[in-house]
Amino acid sequence: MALLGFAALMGAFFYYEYARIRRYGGGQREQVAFSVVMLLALLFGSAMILGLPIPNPTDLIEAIFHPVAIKLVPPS
Amino acid sequence: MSWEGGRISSYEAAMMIAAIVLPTAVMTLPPGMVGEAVQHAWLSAVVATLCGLGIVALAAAISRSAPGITLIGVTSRHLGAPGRWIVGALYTWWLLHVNALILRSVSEFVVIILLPRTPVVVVAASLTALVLWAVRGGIESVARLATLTLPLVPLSVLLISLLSSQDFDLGRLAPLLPTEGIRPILRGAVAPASFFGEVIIASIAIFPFLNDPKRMLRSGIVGVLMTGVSLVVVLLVSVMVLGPASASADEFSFIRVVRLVSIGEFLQRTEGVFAVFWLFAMLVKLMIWFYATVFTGAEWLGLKTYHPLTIPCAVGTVGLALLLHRNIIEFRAFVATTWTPYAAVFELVIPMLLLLIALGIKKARERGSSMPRVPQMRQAKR
Repeated sequence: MALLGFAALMGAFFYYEYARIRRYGGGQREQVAFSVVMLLALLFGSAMILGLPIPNPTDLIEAIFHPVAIKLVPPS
Repeated sequence: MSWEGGRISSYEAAMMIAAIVLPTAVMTLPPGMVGEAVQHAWLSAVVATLCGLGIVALAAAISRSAPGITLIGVTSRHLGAPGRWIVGALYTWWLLHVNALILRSVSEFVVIILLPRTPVVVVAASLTALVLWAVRGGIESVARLATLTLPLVPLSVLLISLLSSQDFDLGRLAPLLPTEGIRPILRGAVAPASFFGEVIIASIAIFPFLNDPKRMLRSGIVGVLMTGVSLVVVLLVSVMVLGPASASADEFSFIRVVRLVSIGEFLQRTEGVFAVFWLFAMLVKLMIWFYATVFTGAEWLGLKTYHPLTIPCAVGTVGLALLLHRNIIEFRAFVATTWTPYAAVFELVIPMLLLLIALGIKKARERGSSMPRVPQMRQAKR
């Protein structure tokens, strides 16, 4: 149910914004960029609603920067 | 990239720069700072403010090297399309990430303090809808909101300080200056300094739109000092009223100070009013970050306007806010253990490299233009 509601909302957003881009002279680049980013947002949101395992960017950031942070401020 | 069209005054710029850090500084930084530097946390705030002044000077120097152009525009000018692609992608990610962190932080605050039975996702989505609405109106809408709502936070901090002065225990600040060296003070300043460093986004979302570019640095200094002074006052009041142990243990220690304010029988439980003022300021902060995110994204992708990115980025921000950390404890751990070097890359390392490249190119051009051309022409005639 939540997924259907989210998909319907995204569809309405897509219809509104796509028409707006065309009306205000947006070129092909704007239309393609909007469509691709909107699709990514739809997939991401749907995966969140369905509870699918999504890789957490925090893990990558911590793997890179945590060792530096430990050297910068050693734990007391 | 088409020009935004909006123009902001130096006063609006100062309020916006204050909005980048002030709401976080007042509400979420004090417990960690008191935990490290105890009663000397206000000195850590002074150190962090000095770092903020340095970063705002860096942002102003970058914007002055190419007036009316953002950080990504400067990258594009000096490093070409490949540079724009790499730096643009990195900054778009960082801004989106920080946006999600701020959204999570403010949503948790609303749930803990104001709406305990409401799910975080509902609060986050509602706040994002407001942010989306304002940002689609352009930079001028955000600037007007900043001038309307931001002064309420330092004014309310001042008022709360005056009203709670009857509970001040000056002995809790003793000894006023550190006796065991400056190490605890510096440790307490590390995380706040990286938060003050967030003013670097002035070179993306504020300075390029200033109607008087000569006042760039002045606006920046006013904004950072306003934040710094408010943070020092909040720390001093929290320690004097609650004591260092309580001030470091509570998640939102200043709200506890506000709760203790009681004048006679008629002025009590004022935390709701303060929380609403703070929430307004936090919304403006979110708007500035969200604006910076979509504007940078549009520049990175070479779009004519940022509007096509606003709705998908809003959805992505809400999703990321829920995905990144399971609870506020994980969020605190991330800030304490990883945030500082991660933020330093975007707040200091990349901007500093860009500025050095810009200055190097400028010097090389000056040297090139001062080369004796006339003898060469004579030589050519011969």
